Amino acid sequence: MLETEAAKLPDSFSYIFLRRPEPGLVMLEGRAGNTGQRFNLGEMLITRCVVRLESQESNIVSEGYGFAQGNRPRHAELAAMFDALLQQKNWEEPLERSLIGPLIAGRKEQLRKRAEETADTKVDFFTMVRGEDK
Amino acid sequence: MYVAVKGGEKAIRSAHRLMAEKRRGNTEVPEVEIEQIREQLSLAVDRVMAEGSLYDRDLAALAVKQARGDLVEAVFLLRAYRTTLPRFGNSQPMDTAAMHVRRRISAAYKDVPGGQVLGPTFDYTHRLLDTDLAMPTTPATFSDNEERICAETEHGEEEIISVCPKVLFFLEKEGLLPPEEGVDIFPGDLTRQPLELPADRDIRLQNLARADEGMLLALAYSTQRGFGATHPFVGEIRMGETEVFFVPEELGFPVVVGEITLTECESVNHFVGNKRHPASFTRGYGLVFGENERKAISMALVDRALRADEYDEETRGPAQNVEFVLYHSDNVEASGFVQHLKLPHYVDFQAELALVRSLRGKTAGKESE
Repeated sequence: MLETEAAKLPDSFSYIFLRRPEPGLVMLEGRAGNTGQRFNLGEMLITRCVVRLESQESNIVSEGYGFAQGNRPRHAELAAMFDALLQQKNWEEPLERSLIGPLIAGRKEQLRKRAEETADTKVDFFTMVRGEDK
Repeated sequence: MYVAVKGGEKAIRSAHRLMAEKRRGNTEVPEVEIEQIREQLSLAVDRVMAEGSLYDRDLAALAVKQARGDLVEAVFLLRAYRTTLPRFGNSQPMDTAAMHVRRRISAAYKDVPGGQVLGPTFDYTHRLLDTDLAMPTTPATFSDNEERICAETEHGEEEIISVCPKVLFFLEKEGLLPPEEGVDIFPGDLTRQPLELPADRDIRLQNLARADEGMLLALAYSTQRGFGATHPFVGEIRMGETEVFFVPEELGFPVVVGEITLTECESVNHFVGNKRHPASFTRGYGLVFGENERKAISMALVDRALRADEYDEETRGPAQNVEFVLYHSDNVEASGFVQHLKLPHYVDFQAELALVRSLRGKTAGKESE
């Protein structure tokens, strides 16, 4: 999706890496009983990237941050680039429409589908009446 | 004392080459791909992520392949790999109440708001070997499933919600179960500091979350059989996806950096109470990477057993002994120390041999006197 949308962009801007895509870890925290003492559950691999983007049309410079789950340098780079573009006035609205909107819709659809599959397994247990309970 | 040995480079190289050949197996059979392991042996991948203490399905699948399916070896590979990476920081504590649940059951309450959903489970299967699986199936087999179609019509247009309240909240509201409260302090980290006793609950929970599943299962079972009984009920088990929020230093606000699968178990145990404090239940907590209910339940039971001191309980079982549990639960450490015995101990053994010989010599000498 990011790649397809990126291919459609005009070449009226350029960006440099402030931080090349690099993999690293985030320590994931949990809480006892979800509300109690914080503890370290384990780490997760992510890729981060920071770009500085300059538009030749408006001469506006913006910094974009990208994060992707796993070792996905290209994903993090594209996310950073789009983040930088989204901070530029003339890009914000068209990208909200062509990229952010569909991404949010896709996520909703994914959650709905998952929930629907799960809902099929909803169960109603009933307790049997034992003889002596009469 | 261990004295190092030298030599054997050629033999070691050959042994590694032979191992690589054995890993590949019969070359007339197609090679297994990472994607296949990730998608079709997902529970093996989950276990390796949990005990390797690193959430990444691709890396864990690669580790399973490299280790020829030896999951403890795969865990070791992940643990070693993580040391090569920088750490960007800590996530915000994950909120399991906001989990998109794919499975959620309670063994304590029959009717829970949000309902009980079985999700993908081995429960209620007959444990008969399914010979149909010996033949590859096509995806169409699943979509043609009649039951699936029936269920769809039943739901109709009604909105399906995958986020539901925590079961134990209802007991808390009634005052029958103390809510989990913790001071909001930065938790201790076993990957940064050595284990020291006494260990607080943050350290204990981290240790249990990455502990060997077999060890935890055995300990949990031992409490059920009387070695430190805690009378557990499974208040709730939930499994599903939770979003990870991370605050990058440069930004200062939380960003979702991914979504992970978690299994959580909250147990309701043994009540306590006296004249001053009205009777209330106690609780244990289990939280594990991936789909792994056996480990989540075991963790909750052992967490509760380890709280014996807190409730002035007599410690009668190994599962209640913090030192015993925490120092022996890590399979990378345990496997390393047990398996180092097979490395050359020639000098060591020669010393022992000489000692035993001299002792025998002395006895023989005495006898002949």
